[in-house]
Amino acid sequence: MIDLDLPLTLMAELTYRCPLRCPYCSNPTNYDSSRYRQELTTEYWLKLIKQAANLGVLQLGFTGGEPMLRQDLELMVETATATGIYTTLITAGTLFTKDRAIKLRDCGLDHIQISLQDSQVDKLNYIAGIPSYEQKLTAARLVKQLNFPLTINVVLHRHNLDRIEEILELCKTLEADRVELANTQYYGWALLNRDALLPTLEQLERAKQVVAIAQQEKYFPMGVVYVLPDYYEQYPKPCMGGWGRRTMVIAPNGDVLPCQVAASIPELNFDNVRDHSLEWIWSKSAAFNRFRGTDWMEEPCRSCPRKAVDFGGCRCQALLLTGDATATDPVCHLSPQHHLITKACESGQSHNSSSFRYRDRLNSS
Amino acid sequence: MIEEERVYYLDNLGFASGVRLHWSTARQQHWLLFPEGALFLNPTAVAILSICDGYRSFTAISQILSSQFCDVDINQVQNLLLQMLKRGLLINKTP
Ligand code: SF4
Ligand code: SF4
Repeated sequence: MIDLDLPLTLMAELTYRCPLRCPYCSNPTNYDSSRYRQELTTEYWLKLIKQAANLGVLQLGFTGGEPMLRQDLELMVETATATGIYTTLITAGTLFTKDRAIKLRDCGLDHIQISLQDSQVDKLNYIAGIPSYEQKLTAARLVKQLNFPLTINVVLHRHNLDRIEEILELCKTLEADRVELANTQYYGWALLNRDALLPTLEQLERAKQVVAIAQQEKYFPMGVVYVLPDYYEQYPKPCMGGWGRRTMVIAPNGDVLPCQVAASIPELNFDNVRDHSLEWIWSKSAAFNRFRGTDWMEEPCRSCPRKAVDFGGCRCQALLLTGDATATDPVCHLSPQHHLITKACESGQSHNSSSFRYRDRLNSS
Repeated sequence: MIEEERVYYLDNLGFASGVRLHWSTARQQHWLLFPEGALFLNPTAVAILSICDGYRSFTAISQILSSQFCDVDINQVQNLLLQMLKRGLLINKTP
């Protein structure tokens, strides 16, 4: 048995509906299927928020899709505030009206994160798949006017990395308190668009320098987080800080997952909040226990000194690329399947395509 | 161009917007909560942070702590405040 920590963070995916169509969206590619269409009711969410607080959760992120599509968001924030949990709204910003922003503030919302796809209007709209630049900027300004701390999140890829300085300038103008620059993670939609998204090595080299300056010069009082492009790293990321160690994700239909992408692993059956309490799911569910700790590992991870550092990397990535969810994340240079990554990078470098498969309905069954 | 040295003032410190103390009943612990983060606080840290109201000088904070605890380590207080200031969690409020 391994020592079970209490969960720190709950990601509440309120809906997979979203007005935007980002080609790297982390929602499942079958987000529109009957599996997800039945969203949890308000009553469930309110009950779950209280359960999470009792379980020791300290951070609650309202995300999606676009969480502002849920008209009961204010009620959820109010309930969370009463428990003392820290609340973050993760939004694309297009539905962030003044009226709702004020209500959210009055309900006690702590922090707002807005996504920006790029620094230029046509480029941003091109990635978002709909015109949304002006609305996002207006939303960011409103966040600051209402005295919320503002995080701006930017997903990085070949089509915006060359403007990383300009993007940071825009974040400065918007008075962001924190900036997250996240190199694209290739799951779901992003994997479908990998050849069109993979950056060049030169782009990444430059970005690294620009980010280092932003960090040293303290452009943003609460810092700049740079999520490394793991395809180009030697070692994988410690996915989620360890499977079932810190985070719980509740999908719109009530399935509880250890990570937002975990639904991509078909062998896992996720327990649902309609059948079990969060506490039971955290400690007892098969999905949470499947990759907890290090006992499940195969070689080379099993005898590797880094196994408690990176936990063998990402399970979803291992499955998507090698077909085996228990394999070493192929991003690791010690993985026997590391050539898959090298090949993908080469193929990405030689493509110059900017035709995306936008997040859209794949099949509406 | 890149400054190595920055001057920090430890007077009039208060929480930046979106930063707050939290008592977790489930964990029976004090935490500092802020955007995308949570720091576990020991009793000394709680005592220090809970008097950072934006109006007190560093001297005033040290005096209050000395009246509450018999062995206050001023260096430790200074370090904690400096760390928090560097992370943007505390800010200099009133001039
Ligand atoms: S990544 Fe884009 S499309 Fe996906 S939920 Fe976020 S804003 Fe919507
Ligand atoms: S072999 Fe496994 S544990 Fe070792 S560095 Fe690679 S992924 Fe991490």
